[in-house]
Amino acid sequence: MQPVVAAEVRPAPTGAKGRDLGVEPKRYQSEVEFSHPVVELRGITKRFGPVEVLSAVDLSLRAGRVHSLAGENGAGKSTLVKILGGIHQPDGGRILKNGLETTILGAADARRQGIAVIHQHPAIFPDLSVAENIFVGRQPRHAGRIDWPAMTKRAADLLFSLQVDIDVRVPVKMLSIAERQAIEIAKALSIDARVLVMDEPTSAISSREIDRLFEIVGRLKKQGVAILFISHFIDEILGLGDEVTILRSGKRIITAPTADLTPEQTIRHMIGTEPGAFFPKEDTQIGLPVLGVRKLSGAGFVEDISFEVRAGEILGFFGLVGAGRSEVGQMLFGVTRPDRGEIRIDGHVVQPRSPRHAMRLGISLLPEDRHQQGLVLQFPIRANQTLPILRQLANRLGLIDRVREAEIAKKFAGLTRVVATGIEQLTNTVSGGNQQKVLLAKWLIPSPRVLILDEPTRGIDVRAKAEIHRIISHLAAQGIAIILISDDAQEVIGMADRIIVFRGGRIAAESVRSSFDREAILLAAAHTARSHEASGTANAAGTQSADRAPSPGNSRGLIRRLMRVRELGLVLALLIICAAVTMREPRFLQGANLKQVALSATLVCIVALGEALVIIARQIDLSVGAMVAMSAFISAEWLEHRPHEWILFVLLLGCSVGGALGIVNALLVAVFRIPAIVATLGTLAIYRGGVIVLAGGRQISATVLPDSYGEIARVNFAGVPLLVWLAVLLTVGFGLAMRFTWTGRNLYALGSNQESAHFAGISEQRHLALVFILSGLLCGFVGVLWGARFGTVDAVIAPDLHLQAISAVVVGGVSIFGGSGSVYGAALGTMIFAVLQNGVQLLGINQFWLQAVVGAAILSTVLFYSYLARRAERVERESRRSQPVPWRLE
Amino acid sequence: MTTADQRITLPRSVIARWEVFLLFVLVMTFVCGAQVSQYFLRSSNISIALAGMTPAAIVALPMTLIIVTGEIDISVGSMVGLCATFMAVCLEHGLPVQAAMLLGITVGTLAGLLNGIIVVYGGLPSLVVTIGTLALYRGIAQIILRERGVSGFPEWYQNIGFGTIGGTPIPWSSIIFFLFFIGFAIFLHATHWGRALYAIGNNREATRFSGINVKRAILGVFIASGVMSSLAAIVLTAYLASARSDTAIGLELPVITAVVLGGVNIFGGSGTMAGVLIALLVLAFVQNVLGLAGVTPEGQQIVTGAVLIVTLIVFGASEIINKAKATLWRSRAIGSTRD
Repeated sequence: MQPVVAAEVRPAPTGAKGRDLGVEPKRYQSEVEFSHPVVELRGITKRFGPVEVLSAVDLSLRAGRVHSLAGENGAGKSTLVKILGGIHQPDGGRILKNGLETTILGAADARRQGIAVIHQHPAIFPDLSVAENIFVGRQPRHAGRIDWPAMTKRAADLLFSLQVDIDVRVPVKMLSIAERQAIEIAKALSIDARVLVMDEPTSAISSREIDRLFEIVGRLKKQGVAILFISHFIDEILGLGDEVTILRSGKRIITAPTADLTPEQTIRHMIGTEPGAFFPKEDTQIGLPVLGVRKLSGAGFVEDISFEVRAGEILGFFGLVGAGRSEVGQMLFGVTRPDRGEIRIDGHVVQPRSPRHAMRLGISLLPEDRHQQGLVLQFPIRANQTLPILRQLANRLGLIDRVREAEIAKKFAGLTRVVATGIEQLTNTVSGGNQQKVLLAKWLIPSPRVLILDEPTRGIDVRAKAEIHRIISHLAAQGIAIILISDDAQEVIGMADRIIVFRGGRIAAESVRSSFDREAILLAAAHTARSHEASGTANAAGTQSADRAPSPGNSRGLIRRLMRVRELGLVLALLIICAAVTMREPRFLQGANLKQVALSATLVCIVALGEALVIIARQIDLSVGAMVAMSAFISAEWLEHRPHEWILFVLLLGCSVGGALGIVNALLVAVFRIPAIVATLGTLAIYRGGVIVLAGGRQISATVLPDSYGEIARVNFAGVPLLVWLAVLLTVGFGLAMRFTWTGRNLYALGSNQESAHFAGISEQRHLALVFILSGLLCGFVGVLWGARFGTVDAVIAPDLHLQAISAVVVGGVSIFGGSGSVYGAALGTMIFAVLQNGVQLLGINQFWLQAVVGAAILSTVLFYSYLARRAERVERESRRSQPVPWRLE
Repeated sequence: MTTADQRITLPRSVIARWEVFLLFVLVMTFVCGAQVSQYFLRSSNISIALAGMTPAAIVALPMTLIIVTGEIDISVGSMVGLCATFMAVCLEHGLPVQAAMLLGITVGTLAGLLNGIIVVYGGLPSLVVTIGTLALYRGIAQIILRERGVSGFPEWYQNIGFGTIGGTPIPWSSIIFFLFFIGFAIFLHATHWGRALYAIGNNREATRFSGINVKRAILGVFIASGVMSSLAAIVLTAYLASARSDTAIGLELPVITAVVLGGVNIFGGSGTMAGVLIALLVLAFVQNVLGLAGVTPEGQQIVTGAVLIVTLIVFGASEIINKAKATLWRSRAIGSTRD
């Protein structure tokens, strides 16, 4: 038995995760002299309930230096980061900034004080552009309104200064994680951050991207920024950091210059005991081939993969992020279908059609992301483990045999040494390492012959890692064929019998244990060996202005055109419908008819404006019709009894009624956090019931209402009805506000990503309250106009207004998921429906068709837009596959 | 029927407390009812209360499944109306009632299937899809039946609606409902299909990776919604002794209210059938008592809406409390289960 020593222990040349490319090791450390601390944490203590998560921790961040923070899971690193980021308040100790005591209350406050935090998963707004993401909440203004050209230019300049090549107008949902990190860094620069906290930035990006990231860090250091760098990888901790602080169980163990610490010492401080042999590889009899793959291709870029795995063998898949390893695993497991190629189990050709089918074939896959793809965190451990075999646990009637279930769960939890209070413990209360063991147990239960492990030790601490490696070795010894996918060269070299190196979707190299050569493997995995050297000189060349036209690949320009096409496409659709109707019935174009069309659109349009705002904020308001009815009835009643009342006063009255009803909606959604769909379903019932009770069956007709009232609907200005002017003015007004005010842009941000909006300091409560109150106000306004236009007011008017408004908004291109679309689109949507309704009337088609048409319109438009969006995303993703990194290359 | 995996998100104690609370409310309603009117405890009144609730109750069964998976179906009222319409057309053409019922069930199944197909294969949020089909199905019903109404159902058919068993106040329709309730309850709580629904409601991706056919499951619950809507249409037209295109407008409100009141999390992943059953009874008798006290149907509608909202407020508050508890527990657990 050859104990192979772990990566963390072997002295590693610098370069992230030992992925250097055989070039002179780069040191990123400062030559800057001692400088005084920008931020100091003194004696910081934090408790959650009875547990003390941080105990009197000291930390000093100096300008122009990188301070690494090391420690196992649960040591307190992320709590410390959250305290710096203002998300938690310390229970004890002080925070000093430039020598002066301060408190950091919330994410926005942290930013104001010049502290920027970059999370592992960047908090971005997918629907907003790069430029807006950088400046969210504080877009540059000129003369009171947002200055878009200035914002675009400033964003482009920031990215240029980081040597990052991304078109600032692209919506961020198209970008990779590395690109999003770059944007977060640009954001930090834009707020002139003096402290940058990077929370495990390298876990999800490739080797080359890591090198670029570190170069940026180098530049930031020269600008005097103090950097706190958190990572699991000893190589990075010691290579990038000037100093390192090691935490264990919430206490600061040691702070020292990184030059003074060896990797072994670092690990010793982290875990408190001598690190043992981390890869106890057992002697295994390797048997016959179990899995054979020939010329497997698919997932758009994976080509020609052929390999074999034998019983008892561990085959390592090594490569950079995006090289295709996980995709192969998913093709083997039936999650995706390969385009070409052959898969054989025991020599027989098989085609895994689904995960269930793959399980039956004896294949198990431990997915990469244990939270998203692996575990149902709210289930007890037992339920998670037995999820794949539920059917086998059930009898013919489908009833689950709980006794057998508990037995199996207990047995396998024991096998993988899950530490918990029992199999009924909820999975989300168990530590990361144990969650991974639960996942492993889950996929062992179906007795696989082939076990595919995708990054089984990612994001878990050193001790748990060792245990899992031991289990994997043991499994191999029992004759299971194992594929170990990992981007940690040391892990793969330590565990595998053979290694296959992936690059760009193909196999770049193969290697057998006896001749493992770390450098050769790393070289094969990287795109080109030259790129590393080229990085130093790349930036000198090319003085391309950063805000040049979209990069090569017509697809990008096409995407933007596709996006803008929404409103233009609507105008086009409108014209086509008008043309179609005119062809069948020329009366359509008559002045009087057009006026009718416009008029019938106006009231719905104004309501749709409010609904559009609500939907952009990712909510929905079903109560609009009831609000209109309530306002209409109350104002009509008032006028009936006070016919000499000023119309303006009545308008105010109606708006107040609507506003009050809107405030109730706002309270329910924004304060009580009731999902808008059910909240407004409830208020719809309450308001409608209320107005019916109020009306008591009465109907107020135009005859008892003053003439001046009905005049509103009949008055024209310049040949166009007043109501139409009102609708146009309101549409343009809201349109401008949504585009040029902070509040408007905040609504888009909120709809796009609530969590990120919270971190950006955008008050969710205030903005949600705003949109519902606005919706109420607009409905109140329309209520008053309703009586003027239609003459009769009773309790059952506008029964389907909510459907009309929502369909107009949806047809108008506002995404039902929020974050995109415009009020202009909503207005165009109402016009389309008004024309349709008019057309139906003119052509003598039965009115009863309208409701069905509305329904069909909603369905078809939403389907159409969703199809468009998915195609756009796919095209964009493919265009970037050919250039996987955003940084400029030679 | 009450085991660990029903209490998936909220700790056992909270759910049990909620159902007990609901039972308490039910008892109080009976007490109030007896006070309000001497007719409350009469057999005829009880049976009216139960029979009136049955259509909504029948639809609430698949609605529970749908909400557990994290989806929603707002089109149930329109599906009931659509089925009623087709049944009416059959009768207008002189076909026997059995044929009409068969057609109604077919229509309901197809309507539910369409919902499911668009949600699953179109990849669209069920909220928007069912708002669209709410309009579409109601519209089709209106096109077909216009303002006409059809009655003339045979005696035995009307008996389904409000006939009772022997001398008891229990209507036939309630028996039908109860049998389905048992079936759905066993399905949800004791079978592997039911557990899969909870898994989907909690983490769809992970469930897919676990070999469960998520698409088929969601398609299935929407089809169930359609089928049960057709059965509700039969019961409702029997009860009203008429079928019109505007039958069951607004049915989605009491159905969703009952499910939410029963403790099913609106975001999916937890809840019990027993809770929904008690909630249905509570709603039925609260409405009945209000009616006896002279409150109009619209007034009752207000109360239903208010109940929905108050329930959600209460659950919202308890979610916050429980999340705080879970954080506490987790920090304790991490402290004690260091590996």
